[in-house]
Amino acid sequence: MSFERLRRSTRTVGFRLTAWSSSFFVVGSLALVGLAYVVVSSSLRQRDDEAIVHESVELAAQYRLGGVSTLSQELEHQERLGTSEPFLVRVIDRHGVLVFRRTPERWGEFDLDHLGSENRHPETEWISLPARRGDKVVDVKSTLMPDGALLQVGKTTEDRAAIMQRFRAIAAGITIAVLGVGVGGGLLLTAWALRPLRQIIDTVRAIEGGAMNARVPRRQTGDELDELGGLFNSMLDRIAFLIAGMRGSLDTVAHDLRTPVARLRGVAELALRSDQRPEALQQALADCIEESDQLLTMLNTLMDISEAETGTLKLALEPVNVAAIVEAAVDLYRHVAEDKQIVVSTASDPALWLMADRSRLRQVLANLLDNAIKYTPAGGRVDVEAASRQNLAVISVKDTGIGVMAHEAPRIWDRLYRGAHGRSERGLGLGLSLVRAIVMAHGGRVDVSGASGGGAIFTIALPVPGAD
Amino acid sequence: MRILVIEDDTTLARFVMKGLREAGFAVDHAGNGEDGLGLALSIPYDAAVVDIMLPRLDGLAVIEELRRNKLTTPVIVLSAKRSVDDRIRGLHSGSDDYMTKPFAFAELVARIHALMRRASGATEPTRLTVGELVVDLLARTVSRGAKRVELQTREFALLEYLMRNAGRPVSKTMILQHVWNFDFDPQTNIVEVLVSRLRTKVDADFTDKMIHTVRGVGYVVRTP
Repeated sequence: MSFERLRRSTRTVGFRLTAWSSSFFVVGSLALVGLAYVVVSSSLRQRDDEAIVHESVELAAQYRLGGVSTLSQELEHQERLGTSEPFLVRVIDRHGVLVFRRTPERWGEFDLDHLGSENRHPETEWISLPARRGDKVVDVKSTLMPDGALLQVGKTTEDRAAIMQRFRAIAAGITIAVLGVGVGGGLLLTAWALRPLRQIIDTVRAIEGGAMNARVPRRQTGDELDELGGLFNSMLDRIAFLIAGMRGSLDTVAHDLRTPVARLRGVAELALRSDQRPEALQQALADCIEESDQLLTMLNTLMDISEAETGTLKLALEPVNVAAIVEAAVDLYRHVAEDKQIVVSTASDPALWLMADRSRLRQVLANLLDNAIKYTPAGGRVDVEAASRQNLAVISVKDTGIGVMAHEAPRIWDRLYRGAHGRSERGLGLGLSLVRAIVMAHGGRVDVSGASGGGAIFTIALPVPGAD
Repeated sequence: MRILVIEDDTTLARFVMKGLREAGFAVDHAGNGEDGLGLALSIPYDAAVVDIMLPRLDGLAVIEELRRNKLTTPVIVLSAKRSVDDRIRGLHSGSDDYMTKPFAFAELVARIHALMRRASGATEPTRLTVGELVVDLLARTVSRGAKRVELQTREFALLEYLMRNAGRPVSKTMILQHVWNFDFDPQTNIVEVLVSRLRTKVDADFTDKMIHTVRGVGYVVRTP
């Protein structure tokens, strides 16, 4: 492994997670071992000290009873019973003369002369005496007797040291095991935990490489990373849907614009070809402008439709009074209807409110009215009704026109579709597609059915907020 | 009346300048944002027409800089973008009006006039007169010569709008916006129907017509 590769691998999340988790684990375990060491060592020391104190008190009592001889008898008695641990016992009289001494075997290695005899100031005193060789220590407690003599009782730390040494050996073993488990476990754990992330990265790589339908494999464990994978997949699905929608609308737009562009070109070419009178040229130019305006309207409408269909149309939602919107739309067509001798009536619930894009909803109603008036012959009527039904605001536009054939019903919402009777009428054939797209973008639905009198009923149903 | 046009597309700029000169304005042109800002800061223009996508300094930045320098010159923004967001951003930067490309030239002229009228703070007239046609805005009555013309609400609104722009054609889109406050172009001939009703009442009894159709542009009221 080259140095550069090593450096890169130390930057990975996996490496850092492993390093951190094993450090915490190892440091924590070592702290526990250390604590145990301190506790064991101090309690052993305490136990030794207590034994020395106990022996001191006992021997002091014997000394007070009968001096050195009683003390000596007591020690022999203890030795016979075998209850006594090997204690060092010395008595130094008030003049500093060593009057009694008992030293267990092997104690030669301690320089007992250091204990001295002048040290008579404190009533009791602890002295730690190191061995001549090695790390052994003898702890000695001095007690001042009432007659001025000094009783010294001592004990080696040999046993304690042996136990602690064993403890240290065990602790070292534990430490090595802990290191192994910590690092190894950390590696395994991070590898396991990062596997879903690795899969997401692989998926992204695949998509980057052109495999647009690559998806993150799910494990169905329901944890956060699985959830992330799921969200990631649904995001990819949504993007794929949008791309497909946009590709589709681009195709449609390109297709739909060909005819008006061809018309525009035709008008201009015709005007150029023959030597025309100026008035005729002016006429042709005016035609060009009208055709291009028509083209622009069509382009804008197609964009609106595809934006609404793919969900990218921005809706400025606000509370909208349905009756007011209906009246505004009817007002727009009042004169057109009058001219065609069509009666337009409205029946709206004045208390019906919606959360909607006001301007877009007006456009929907205007298109429905436009459609109704266009296909209704003179003397007919158009009835607009708005009412709340369950948790929906239902607006219907009923006309007495040519109606909609059953086989046509599903197709009239399609772009550029016009009914068999509608071909002579002016218009882009986009009105109803836009109606459907906008209504669906609002979360509503559209429907068309035949009226009893032969006309058509167009119905839109929009959700009313907080009505459930 | 002097107008600054900041537009980098030379064909469009030439077309706009020619049209504005024909409409009686003096016109200066800058092909990028920096030059445009320099001109606008040194010459007191009556209005400016500013494209958004400009080399060196974009249109919105130019307007913001003008407003920072306490210049209240009315500005119309031109843009090829059409979404509502861009409109709002355009108006937030301190511009006064917004037009989407492609646009009807008549509409640009009408909007410039409207902006300059607003900026000049001229008192609102109570009466509009074109030839023998008189609209009394307070009494809401219309008369042509000695003849009283009875109009319905929308007809009155349309005539008032045409009279305010007397001599300058207004487009169908502008009429839809002013008379009905409607932003979309419904495909039915709503405007044509209203205009023809107005014509019946204003022009039918007279040989000299006052309401004219300008093909490909819109409608205009002018003295016969």
